[in-house]
Amino acid sequence: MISFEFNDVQAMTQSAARKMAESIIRPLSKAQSAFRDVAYSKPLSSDFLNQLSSLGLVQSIATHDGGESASSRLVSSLVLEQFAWGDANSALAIAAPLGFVRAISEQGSARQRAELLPSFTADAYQAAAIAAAEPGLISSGLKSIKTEITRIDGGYVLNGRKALVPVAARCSHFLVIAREGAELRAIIVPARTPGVSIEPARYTMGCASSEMSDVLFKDVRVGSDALLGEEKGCDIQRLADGSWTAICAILTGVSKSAYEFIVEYVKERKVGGVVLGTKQAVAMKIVDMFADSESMRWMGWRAANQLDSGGAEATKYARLAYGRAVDTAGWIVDECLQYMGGHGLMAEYPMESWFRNTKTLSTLETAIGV
Amino acid sequence: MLNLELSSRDEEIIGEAHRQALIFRAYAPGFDRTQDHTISTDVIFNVPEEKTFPHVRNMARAAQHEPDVSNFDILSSQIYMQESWAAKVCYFRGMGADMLDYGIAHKLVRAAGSEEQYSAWAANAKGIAWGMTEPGGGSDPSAMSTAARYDEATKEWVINGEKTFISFANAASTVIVMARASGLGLNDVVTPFLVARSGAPGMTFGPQMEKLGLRQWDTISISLVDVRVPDENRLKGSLKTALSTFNSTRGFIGAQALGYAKAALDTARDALVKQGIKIDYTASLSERPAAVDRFIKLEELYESSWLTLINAMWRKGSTPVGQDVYYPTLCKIVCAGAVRRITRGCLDLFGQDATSKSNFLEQAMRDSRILDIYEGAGDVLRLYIARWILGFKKSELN
Repeated sequence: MISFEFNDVQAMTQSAARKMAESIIRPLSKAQSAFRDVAYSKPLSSDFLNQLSSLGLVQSIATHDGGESASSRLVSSLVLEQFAWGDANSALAIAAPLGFVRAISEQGSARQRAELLPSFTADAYQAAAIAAAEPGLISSGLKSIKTEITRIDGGYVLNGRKALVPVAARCSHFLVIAREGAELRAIIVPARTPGVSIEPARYTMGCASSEMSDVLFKDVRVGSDALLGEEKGCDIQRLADGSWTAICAILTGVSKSAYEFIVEYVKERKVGGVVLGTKQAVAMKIVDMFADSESMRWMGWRAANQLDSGGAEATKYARLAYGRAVDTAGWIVDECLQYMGGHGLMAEYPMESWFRNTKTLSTLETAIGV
Repeated sequence: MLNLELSSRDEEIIGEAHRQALIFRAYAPGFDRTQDHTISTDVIFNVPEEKTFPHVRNMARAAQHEPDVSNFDILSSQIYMQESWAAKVCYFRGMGADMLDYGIAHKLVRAAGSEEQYSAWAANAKGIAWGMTEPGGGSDPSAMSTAARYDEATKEWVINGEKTFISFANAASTVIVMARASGLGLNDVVTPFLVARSGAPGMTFGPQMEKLGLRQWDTISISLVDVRVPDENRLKGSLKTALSTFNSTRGFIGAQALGYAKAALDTARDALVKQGIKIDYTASLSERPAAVDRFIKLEELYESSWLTLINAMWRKGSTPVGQDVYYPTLCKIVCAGAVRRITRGCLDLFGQDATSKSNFLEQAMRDSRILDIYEGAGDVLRLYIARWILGFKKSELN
């Protein structure tokens, strides 16, 4: 039966994530989301990442064996939204290893789970990421990637360039999406494997503290046991579905930040002697912002539940959630910035950083997970 | 436990509504015409199969004691979606009828009238029509000019004015007329009066108004020239309180809207598939034909609206009546706004025969257009929600 009521785990986890967002993420958000070509910006510190990690989300997936995760994707979505409400970089920092660990936990072979998951069970932050995107148009998608593996004696050789992998320099492992001929494969590659080079972080419009770097793979040799799922193979679309769902949750958090900020702003700001929020054109759109930020959240939840329950239309709902989130978040932050006039552009206020973060988040596609 | 899927038992019940909808859908083109009351005052279009139909909302109500069944409001909303999916003809068919209940005039008498008035006028009435809107103002009740002046000599209220967009008047024995009342201690107060059709020579019914959609829906203007009624005909309860109970029915208009939207998407999807165009959600933008991209964008809008609908209905089921005025209203704003874009957008996918009468979709577009206007136009309702969100009074934001 349909219900919007949380169970205890869902309610408690959301509450804990929100508290963390209010107490430790928000105070740092200006430094996190500053644009990187100005000296005062800072990447996320190890101490800070350890605090985020202490919520235990990634660990709850890594400690469960046999495919069924302790942490549902709905619970992950609740955390990612609250972290993103604090600051998008914090959400990305968790969503990157979340994507990797979820993939291993759900689709890895017994040997892969036994070997890889334990290092993600500690309190301290451990990064890993799916490496899927390549330089070029987002319109091209996974089917046009060029990174490839070719079979050799005992394994594969991997060659290619992956673009803008979040927290790349901290990753212990990458889950690389590559082609073998016409087929797509997912290959587990330890970051220290000879031939793997992580380039310096490229500055992006937003989420620069997530230190997204290109990762080069030049004649990287891996064993045949490096394929996710080994001889059983894996469902790569499911990785994309999870990433889309995560992006929806994160964009919801950023949208809610912008929406809540502008509601307070237009109640105070005066234009022509009149309170800005009493102007019909402003007030009407705020109603749509409220409605759309609520429903985008529910779309993410529906996708998360469908992925958890093995629903036949999970891919459809994940894609609809992602598409809707990109459009909705995009117009909300853009409109909120407009209502602030010149102040909207000033780094003194958080809106310009939410504007930049939203755009970068919208480009992620298969980079993270839920 | 958070769950946004209809259960299999829910789907079973809704499935019965769908089965009935398929039968009604076949009659839809026949209903797409203005009634001619010179031929007959019997306005009920005959759908013979209807006599055999189980009462689906009763099924939904009876199922409420079962373990995995969504609440009655959620199920009702999904049943109402099936009705508009079928362009099922909508006319008042008595309280408790198995359809979106247009008996709000009866409810007004119950809410603002006495027990005696309800027994005398509503309990056994064939139909009651409600005249509120006037040519000069609908969304703006302060523009109302129909007036009721108390004649001390005859102890009667004398009503003069004109009402328009009156629904179901030809099936009604009584019309509730809203007028600005002066006299008997009232000073220009908007007040409902019960006016019986028989014995009111000054009340004249106009001809059927020809309309873009819902053409079969009985819609006329009524003029009142020196119509005299005793004070027993005046509803004396708080109008504000009475009207506020109708806020909760507003959400079901959202359901009506999504039924038409679903019909549009289903029709478009079938057409795309029939033409061999695959709707592939995994495809990247450059692999997606423009037609598929547009379709998926409309599906996104539909899904976000549907979730807004079921959220409002879920809340309704767990909130005391009249307590939640905002979410049903927000639901109507979202869904009735969405159906405008979805019907238009789906029609754009068809070729030159898109708007030919053989395409049900063109009737769906015309029939659904009223939804963002009546029962509170979306723009006016947005001001109402905005005041709530921003904490402004009506005098501050209007």
